[in-house]
Amino acid sequence: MIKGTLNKFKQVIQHKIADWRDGMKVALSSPIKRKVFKQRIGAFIINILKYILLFGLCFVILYPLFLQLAVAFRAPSDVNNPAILWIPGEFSVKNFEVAMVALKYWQALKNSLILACGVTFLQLASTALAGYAFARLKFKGSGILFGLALFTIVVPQTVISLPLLRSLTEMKMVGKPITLFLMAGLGMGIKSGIFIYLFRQFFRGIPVELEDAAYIDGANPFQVFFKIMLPNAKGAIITVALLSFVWQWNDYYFTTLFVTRSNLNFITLTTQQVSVLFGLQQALTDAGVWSLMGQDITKNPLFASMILNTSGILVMMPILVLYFFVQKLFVQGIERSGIVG
Amino acid sequence: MDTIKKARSVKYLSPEQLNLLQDKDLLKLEKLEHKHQLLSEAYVKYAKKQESKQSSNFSRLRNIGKKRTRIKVQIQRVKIELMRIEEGKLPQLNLFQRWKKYFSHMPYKKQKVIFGVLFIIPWAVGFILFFMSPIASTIWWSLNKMTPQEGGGFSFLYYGLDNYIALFTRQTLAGATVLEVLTSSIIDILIDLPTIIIFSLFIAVLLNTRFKGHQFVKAIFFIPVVYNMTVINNTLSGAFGALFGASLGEGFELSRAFSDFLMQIGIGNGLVGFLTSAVDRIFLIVNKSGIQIIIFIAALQAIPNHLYEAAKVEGATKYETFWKITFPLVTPMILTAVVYTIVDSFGSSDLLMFLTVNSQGTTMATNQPGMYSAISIVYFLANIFIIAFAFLFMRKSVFYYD
Repeated sequence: MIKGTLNKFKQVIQHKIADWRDGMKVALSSPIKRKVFKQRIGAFIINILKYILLFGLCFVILYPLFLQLAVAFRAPSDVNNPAILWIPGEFSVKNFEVAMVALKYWQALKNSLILACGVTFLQLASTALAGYAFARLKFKGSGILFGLALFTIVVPQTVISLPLLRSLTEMKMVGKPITLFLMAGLGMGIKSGIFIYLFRQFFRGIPVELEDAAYIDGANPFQVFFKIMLPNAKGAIITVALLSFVWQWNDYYFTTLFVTRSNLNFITLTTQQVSVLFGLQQALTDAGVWSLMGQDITKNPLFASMILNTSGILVMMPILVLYFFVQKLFVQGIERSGIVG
Repeated sequence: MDTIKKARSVKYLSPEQLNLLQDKDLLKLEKLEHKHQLLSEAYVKYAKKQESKQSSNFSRLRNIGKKRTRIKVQIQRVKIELMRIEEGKLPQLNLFQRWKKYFSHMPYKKQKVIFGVLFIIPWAVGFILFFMSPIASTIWWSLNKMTPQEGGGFSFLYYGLDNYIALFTRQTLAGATVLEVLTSSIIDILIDLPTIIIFSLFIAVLLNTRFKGHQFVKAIFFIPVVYNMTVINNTLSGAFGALFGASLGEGFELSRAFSDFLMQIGIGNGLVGFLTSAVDRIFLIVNKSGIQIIIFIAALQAIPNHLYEAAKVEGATKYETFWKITFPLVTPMILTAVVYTIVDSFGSSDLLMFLTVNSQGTTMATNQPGMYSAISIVYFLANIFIIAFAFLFMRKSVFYYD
């Protein structure tokens, strides 16, 4: 029985080898065919190298994320256990509980969402309008203004922050999120210059004939912008929206300077992340992790680091979820955005 | 038929109002026709003059013609209105409708300018409020010695360039002078810059082709754009990194084993050092080049396909197509990516440490705003200097299609 199947198997393999040999003979029969064969092998090898490189780099990107996750799920009692490297000895969500309390998670999440959504919307509005005006509604001096808009990208925020803070304090605007909304709405939010540039390049890429047709039908520039250009600019809108949302979410500098520093009640995830360690003792009590108290665990720097790491995951979680929802649109948006006008 | 929607009731003007309007319109019509006649005469006269002189300057003639046609259109509009008045059906317009009518009678060129200004106004207001005035006061502050007063304000004392001189001669951070920190950060950027640009262009070219799983790979490559990597850097390789020796040891061991292996093969020490440092830095480089990859992918997508087809027909290899078509057409975006990289990596330069803490260990923003401003101005100038350098360096090699 076994012998029979083995024999069959042998026959099949011999057959295949014979086929392959014949194929090779044909492939190497003439110099042209030989050349084609060589090229094919070369392409195959290059393809394999490409896969190795790309997936290797993907691993490089994902490695710290995995590391973070592995550390986050480690039980607090295993902190000093040298036998545990990657896979936690026992899965525990204690770290998450403690980090959530230390971050004041839900309050901070709410504030972060309000801030990021509002800023995204306002920034989209102001930069899209300016970008369209710079691309199509030209007037005397608009070229110079566009140059100034590009200039705002180059100037670091530290140059303007101190006088701005002082004048805003005098106007009693510091400590309220309205300040950030105002800046975004007036096209001076985080990296607004880049968004204006992006929108301008994108609108320049849309054919003029489309607009002209609308003008002939009797539309005014406002209608052309809202009914023709914006629906065609989905790619740019998604790109700008995602970037501005994420940059606001991750922003520490402006948010602390203008809001959180003078109004400690308005915390966002990113600003709270920095001060996680200060409230650790209190958080441990609040989270009800009594079993840990006896070991004087708060003085262990490894534990502190672990909590910091877990809070990092918690801060980034909403962004990652959002990203995986809009990821496809984002990639497509980039490809079609035609940043090069 | 009770489902018929109520038509929006239109208010018509009363007979008295109509009479008033009719008188007005007739007067207007008379005026316009008179103007039209004058312009026609001028036009004929000027045309004759032009003919006899045989000169080629037609701009005045053209202007007169334009004016005449504009008045013709106006006459037509008034006539239509008069016709409506005779019918007795002229809808009453509210303020907004009247304004809309007036606006739509404008030529498109004017409308575009008006809307252009309207669209830019928010940005322009923000620019003046949140950008120009802070910059002006920063420059002014940097020229003053500012000392905090009890009331909360500052007393100004004009200082000239003394702040800058003091900055370059006296300020130190952990034993390094400003000049040293500045040069070291500039050198860092100049080393990082080509690596990031070449790497991101290379990856963009790879990602731009279609292969199995390209959606997945692309999605992962843009994670660094979204993810706040400073959080990871702080926890895993920053101040807390040393504490993680136990769990991070693996990674280092890998690169040590790699270098040991190279040493045993017999490759020189210098090359090994470079390679291992490159392996160590790859994480940083990958994370820094997210936006640049986006820029390059967009640029590659914008290259017209017929160029590649033509090259293929001519028998060009892939290598040749890259250097003769892809690369030249991407050069403008290389410039953009370079500027972005410089701005981005200067944001994390050591020079910023001077801003938070000075040599005495007190916070600078509250105690010495003058010095703070001077530092940020120097920082800004260094930024501009590098960008200008890159710009001049690349200006000749940038190629613009069309």
